[in-house]
Amino acid sequence: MSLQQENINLKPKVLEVKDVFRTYHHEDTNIVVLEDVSFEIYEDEFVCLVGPSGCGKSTLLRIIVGLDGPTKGEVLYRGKKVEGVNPKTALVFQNFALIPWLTVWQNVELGLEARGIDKKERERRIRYWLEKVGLDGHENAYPRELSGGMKQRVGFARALALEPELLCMDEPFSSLDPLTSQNLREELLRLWGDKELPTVSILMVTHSIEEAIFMSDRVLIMSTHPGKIIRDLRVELPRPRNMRDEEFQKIVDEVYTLIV
Amino acid sequence: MRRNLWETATRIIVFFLVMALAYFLYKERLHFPPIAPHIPTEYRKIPLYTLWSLMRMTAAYILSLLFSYIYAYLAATHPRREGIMLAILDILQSVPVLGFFPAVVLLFVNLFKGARIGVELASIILIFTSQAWNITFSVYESIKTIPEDVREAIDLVGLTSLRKFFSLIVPTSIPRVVYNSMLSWAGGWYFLIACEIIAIGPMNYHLPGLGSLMQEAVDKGRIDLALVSMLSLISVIFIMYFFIWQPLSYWAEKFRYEMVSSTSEPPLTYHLWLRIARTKFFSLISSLLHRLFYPLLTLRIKPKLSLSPSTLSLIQLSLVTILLFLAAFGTIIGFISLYSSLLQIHFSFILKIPLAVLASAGRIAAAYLISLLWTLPTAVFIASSEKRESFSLPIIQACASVPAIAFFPFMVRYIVGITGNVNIAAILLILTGSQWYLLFNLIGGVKAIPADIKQASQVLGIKGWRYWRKILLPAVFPSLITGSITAWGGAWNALIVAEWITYKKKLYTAYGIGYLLDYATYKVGNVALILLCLASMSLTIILINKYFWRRMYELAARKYKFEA
Amino acid sequence: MRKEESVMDGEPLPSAEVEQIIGLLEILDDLGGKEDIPKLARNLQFELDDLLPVIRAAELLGFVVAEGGDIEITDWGYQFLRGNVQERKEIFATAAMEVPWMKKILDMLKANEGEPISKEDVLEAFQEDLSEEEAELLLHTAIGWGRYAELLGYDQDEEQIFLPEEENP
Repeated sequence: MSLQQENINLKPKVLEVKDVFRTYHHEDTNIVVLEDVSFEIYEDEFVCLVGPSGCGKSTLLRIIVGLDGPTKGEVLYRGKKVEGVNPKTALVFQNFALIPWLTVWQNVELGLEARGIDKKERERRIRYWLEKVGLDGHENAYPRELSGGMKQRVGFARALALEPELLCMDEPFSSLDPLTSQNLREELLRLWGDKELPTVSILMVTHSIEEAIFMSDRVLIMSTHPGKIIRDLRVELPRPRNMRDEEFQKIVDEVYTLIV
Repeated sequence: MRRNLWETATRIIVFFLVMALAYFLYKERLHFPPIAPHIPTEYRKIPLYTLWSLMRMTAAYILSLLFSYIYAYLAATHPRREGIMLAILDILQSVPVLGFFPAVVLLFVNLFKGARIGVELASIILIFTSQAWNITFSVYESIKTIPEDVREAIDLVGLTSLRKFFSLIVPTSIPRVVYNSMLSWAGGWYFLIACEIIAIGPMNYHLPGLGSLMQEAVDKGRIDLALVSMLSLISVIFIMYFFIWQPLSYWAEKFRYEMVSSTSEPPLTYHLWLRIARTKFFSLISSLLHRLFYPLLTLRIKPKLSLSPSTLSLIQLSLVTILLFLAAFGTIIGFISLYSSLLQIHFSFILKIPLAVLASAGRIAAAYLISLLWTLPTAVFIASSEKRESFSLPIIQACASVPAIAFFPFMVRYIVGITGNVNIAAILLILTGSQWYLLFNLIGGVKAIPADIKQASQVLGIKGWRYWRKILLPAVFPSLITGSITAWGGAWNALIVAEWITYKKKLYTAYGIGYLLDYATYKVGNVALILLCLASMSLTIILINKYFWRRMYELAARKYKFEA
Repeated sequence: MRKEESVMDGEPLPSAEVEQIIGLLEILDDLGGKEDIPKLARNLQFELDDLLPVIRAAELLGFVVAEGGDIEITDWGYQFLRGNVQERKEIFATAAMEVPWMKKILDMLKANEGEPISKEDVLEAFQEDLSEEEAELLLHTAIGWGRYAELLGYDQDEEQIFLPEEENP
C-alpha cells in the first residue's frame, strides 16, 4: 500500500507544533479556529496541510512562520520556541503579495537587503534564483506586466533567495489557471527532486487533495470548525507522479473515503 | 496631442467668458438694503439657532444633490458639451466660497428687496457653493466608470425614462456621493459663519444661527457663549455621524461593483434604521411617496411631440441661438466695461498681484508641510487598530467641521501677542481648514494596504525606516495626493479669512492675495478689482491643480496602485 | 511541421503565456500524448474559451497538432518538453522566429539597425489586420514569448522593444 498511518522517520526534527489552539474573540463569543493541533515535520520532507476553506490552515501556517501566536500551546523550531517571525522560514502567498512599484529584481532584493546581506552576495543570489525560476530577462519588469504564473515565480525567487530551511506556501497555485499551475508544480518538484532548493523541508497549504497527493511525502488532513488534524498519511508513490494515472486516482479515492 | 491643446484652449476661453459674464452681473448692482439688527446673543437661543443652521445646511445639501445629478448627467452623456461643462465646474470649484458672495447677495437680496427671505436664500446658496462641486464631480466620475457591459445593457433598453435614471445612475453613484457628502457637510459647517453673516460693503446682516452666534459672541468678548455654541455644533456633528453617516456608509458599500468582502460590522445605528424600515409607519410613507412619484418616474425625458423632426430641430436651433446671443451680448458688454474699469485702476495694484499670490502660496505650502509632518505618523498610528480608527473618525470629522473662523480673531490676537508675527498666526489658521482632509485620506490610504503585503513585509523582516520608505509611503501616495488636493482647496478658502482679521477695532493682516481681495472688498469697493483678485486666485488654483496635482495623481494611479 | 498562419483568420488569437503552453504539453504527456479537446477542458476544469488560445499557440509553434477535435503532441513538442531549461529556450526560439507576427517584430528591429523600436510602431503594424484590442493582446503575447526565448527585451517605462545584449541590464 502506498499510504501508511505511521510516521517512521529517522531524520532530525525541524518543526514541532504542540497542542496549538487559536481562538478569536468576536462580540460575545469565542470562535475556535484551531483546536489541539499537533504534528512534526522532519528534515527532507514535503508536507501538505489539506482542508476545506475555513479550516484554519492558513492561520496555522502563519502561526508556524511566526506572524501570529497561538492562544494555547507552542511551536518549536529545531527545539526552540518560536517567538515572532522565524527567519529560518519563508512564505509564498496565494495572491503573490508583490510590491507593485518595485521591479522584479527589487522585489527579490527586499528581503535580502533587510537582512543586511552585502551587495555582491545579493546580486549573486538574485541572479541565480531568477534564472532558476525562469525569470532571467524580466529583472526590470514590474509586477503588473507579468502573468499570474510569473508573479508567483517572483514570489518563489523572493522566498528562496533568503535560503530558508523551511519553505512555507499558502495555496501558492490557487490563483493560477490549471495549465500554469501544472507547469509551476512540476518545476518546483523538479527543483526539489534535484536537491537544488536550499530548503530542508517544505510545508504547503492547499484545499486540493489531488494537489497534496501529487506534491507531498506526507499529507495532513484537517477538518473544519474547529480546525483539527484528523489524518496524517504518508504518500509513497514514486516520483514523477501523474495525476491522470489510474494508480494516482485510486489513492485519491481512498483518501476521500478515509475522510468521510 | 491635438486633443490636449483643444482641451486647454477650451478651458482658457471658458475662463475668460465666465469672468466677463460675472463682471456683467456684478457691475453696478451693489445697492444694499439697510442694515438689519444684530441677533440676541443668549444661551437660551442656542437650540433654536441650531435648528436654523441645520435647516440651511440641509436645504443647501438637497440643492447640491439635485444640481449634481442633473449637471453631471448632462455633462457625462454628451461628449460635445462635456468639455465645456467640466471646464466651468473646474472654475467654479476653484473659486473660493467667499468669491460668490457679491453675486449671490445682490441677486437674492435685491430680488426680495432686503426682506429676510432674500437673505436666507442667499445664505443657502452660499452654503451650496461650498458643498456642491465635489459631489458633482463624484457623480460625474461614477457615471463615467460604469462598467462597459452594464452601460451597454442599459442602452439597449433605452435610457429615455427617469426610471432608468434611478435604477442605474443613482445606485452607481451612491458610494462616492456618500463619502463626498460627508466632506461637503464638513466644509459647509466650516464656512457656516461666512454664510450666516452676510457682510459686504456697508451691509451687515446676521441671520439667526450657530455661526453668527459664535462670531458675535467672540466679537463681544463672550468666549463662554462662543464655546457653548461650538459644543452644540460639535454635538450635532456627532449625532449626524452616528445616526446618519456611519450607517449610510455601511449601506453604501453594497453598491460597489467590485466584490469587496466587507469584514466590518454594521454599526449599531444601522440596525436601528433597519428596524425603523420594517415598521408599518415607514412602509405607509414609502408607498405614499411611491404613488406620488411613480408617474414622474415613467415620464420620458424627451416628450414625444407631434412635430416633424425638421420643425423640432428648427425650434431647438432658434432657442440655442437666442441663448447664445444673450450670453454673447452680456459677455461683450462685460468685456467692455471690465476693460474701461480696469484702466481706472492703478497699474501698481495689478503688479502687486503676482507677488501676493506667491506670498499666499508660500503660506499654504508651509502649512501643508507642517500638516504632512504630523498627519503621516498619526494616520499610521490610527489605522493600525480598528478600535482606534472608529474612535477617531467622528472626532476628525468634528475637527474638520468646526468653524475655526469664529475664533480666528481671538486666536490671532493672542498668537500675535506671543510671537509678534502675523504670518505664524495666518499659517496656523490655514491649518485648521486643511489638515483634517489630509489626515482623513491618509488613514484611508494606510487602511487600504492589503493584508498580504503587510504580512509579506513582516516575514521578510522589513521594518522601521526601510518599511516606511519602500512600502508605507509609496503605498499611501495615491491617498496622499487626493487628500492634498482637498487640503489645498480648503487652505485657499481659509486663506481669504486668515489674511485679514479684525478684532476689537484692530486690523491684523498678512500680505497675500487674500489680503488684496479683502482690501478690494472692504476698503476700495471696486468690483473690477475684486474680480481681478478672484480671477488670479482662481487661475492660480487651476494651474497648480493641472500642472502639479493632476500629474502627481496620474503617477500615483499608474505606478502606486495595488491591483485587485 | 510548423504552420504558416496569417495573423488573423477568424480563430482565437494565440494569446497564451509560455508557461501555459508548457503546462498543456505536460498534461498531454501525462495523458499519454493525445486527448479529446472538450474532455481535456472538462478534466482540467478550464473553460474551453480559455483553452483554445493555448492550443492555437502550441499548434503555431509546431508542438501539437489539433485535428478532428483531438490534440496530440508532435515529436518536436516532445523534444521541447524533454529538454532542459536552456534547450527549451532554444527550441522555443527557433519555433517562435517562424511565427509571422514574431518575425515582423524581429524584422522591424533589424531594419532599425538594432536600435529599440517603440511599442506604438508595432501596434500600428499589427492594426493593419487587427483591431486595437487584438493588437495589444498579440503584442503582449509576443513580448512574453520574446522575453522567454531571449529574442527580445521590453522597457516598460519607455514602452520600447529592443534586441537583448549579452549582459542583462
